[in-house]
Amino acid sequence: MKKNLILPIFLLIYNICLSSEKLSIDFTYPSLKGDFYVNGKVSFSPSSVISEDNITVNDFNSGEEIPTKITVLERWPDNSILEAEILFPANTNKQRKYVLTYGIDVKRKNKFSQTSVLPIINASIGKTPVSTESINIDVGELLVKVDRSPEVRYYWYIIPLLTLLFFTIFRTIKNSKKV
Amino acid sequence: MRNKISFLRRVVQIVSLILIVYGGYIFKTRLEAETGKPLFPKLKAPEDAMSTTKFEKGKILWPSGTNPVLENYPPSLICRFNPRGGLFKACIFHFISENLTWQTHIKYLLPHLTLFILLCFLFGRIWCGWVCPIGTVGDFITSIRKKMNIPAKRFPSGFRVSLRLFSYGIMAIAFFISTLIGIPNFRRFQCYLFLPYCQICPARLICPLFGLIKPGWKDFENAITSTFTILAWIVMGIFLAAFYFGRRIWCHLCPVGLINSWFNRGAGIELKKKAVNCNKCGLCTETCPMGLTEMYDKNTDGIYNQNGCIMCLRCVEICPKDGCLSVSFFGKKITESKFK
Repeated sequence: MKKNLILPIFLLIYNICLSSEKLSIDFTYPSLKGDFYVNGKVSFSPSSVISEDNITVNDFNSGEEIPTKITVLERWPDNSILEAEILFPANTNKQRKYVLTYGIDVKRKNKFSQTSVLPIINASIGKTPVSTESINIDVGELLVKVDRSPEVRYYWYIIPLLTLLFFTIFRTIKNSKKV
Repeated sequence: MRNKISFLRRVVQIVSLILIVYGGYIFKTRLEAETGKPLFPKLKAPEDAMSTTKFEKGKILWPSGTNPVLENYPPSLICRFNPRGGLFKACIFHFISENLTWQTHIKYLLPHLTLFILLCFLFGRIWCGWVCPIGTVGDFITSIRKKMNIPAKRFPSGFRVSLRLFSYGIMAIAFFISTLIGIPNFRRFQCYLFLPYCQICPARLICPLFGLIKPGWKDFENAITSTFTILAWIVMGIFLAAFYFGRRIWCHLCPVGLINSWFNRGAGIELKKKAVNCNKCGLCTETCPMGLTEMYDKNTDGIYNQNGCIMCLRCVEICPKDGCLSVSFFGKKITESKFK
């Protein structure tokens, strides 16, 4: 009888050791329509996550894995991950709830490298939600980061665009009068 | 002077055709692929847009399955039927239609629009005459007619005005459909009505042939695609007939050329006439592939960048009077007519 219990107990302990943990990802969808990136930082306890491939972001309802870009910011003395930055794409037209899953048995399949310039929304992972308009201030080693460049960068084109349009119309009127 | 401009134009047309159709291979490893950074923001369809899933399968709009190197929209360059992806993504008509459907945010559209307006401001409709690959194919058809000694038909100015109005009609319908299928309730039609003009444009059947790829010439999947396929064949017939019988008659009908033509009169490149030197021989209007007569009719000095002018400069080349016609760039003379 005892022998028959060894295997289930072993499997139970094995599963407890390797079981994955889930953290909720909270952010406010922007008023701007279309694609955007969600960015958030998350801290882990020692030995809980060895590699960035042990972290995935999934759709809460369907379980579908979302492509992620994960950057390790800091490691514990045992080389496990202390803090990581996670970036993944989302779309305002397809609003869904995301969940972060991590653990030794988690295997990330969908990676992506950020190539498009899109708005970035700050998210809180496993914490209190943060507002999209907030400014992150880490006190201690003071860090102030205000990155709004994706929002305004391309609006600068309106100046040359309007200038060109003005000159085109001006020259069109001028040239039409000459003939 | 005589034939030098025509020779230069032919060279530019052939080089442009090669660069536009196959240029992607040359630049692919040198530009974005190397730096990993886009030169312009990528304009992507929303995740739930049906158009992307439908057309990425290569059934209609991506026959090559190869993406262009740069996501950019110069005035009237190659379309998305480009067999090898090419250097650029598509023409301005495609750009507007696509983004009316996707309702892309204005800040992402601005860089592309700025580049388009800059090129039009500098060169006007020179793209139609010197660069457009469809025009190059048309000129090749015209040269066949010339070899057969068949004279070109001349069409009255009223006919050309009608074509221009018809072109406005095509543009209005295409943009209306593109906007309509962007509305959430009509999104289910996107897979059939996405880029309506592109589906009947002659480029749909011509461009894939450059890469020896079978064009989407018999898509009879349902009533809508069948209608587009039949319309594409009719438009192709009109295109061939227009170039065979009437030189650049098609360019009066082309909605891409129509958009470029809005910038022609204010463009940096100027076609000037000095009336005192004109002897009213009529060679300028005789040789004009667009059949324009304004330069001959009016006897005043000035800049004759008409909306229909494709800046082929045949008139400057053929004019027998010294300094009667000239080409300038923001007032600086480049060349002028000479007696030979």
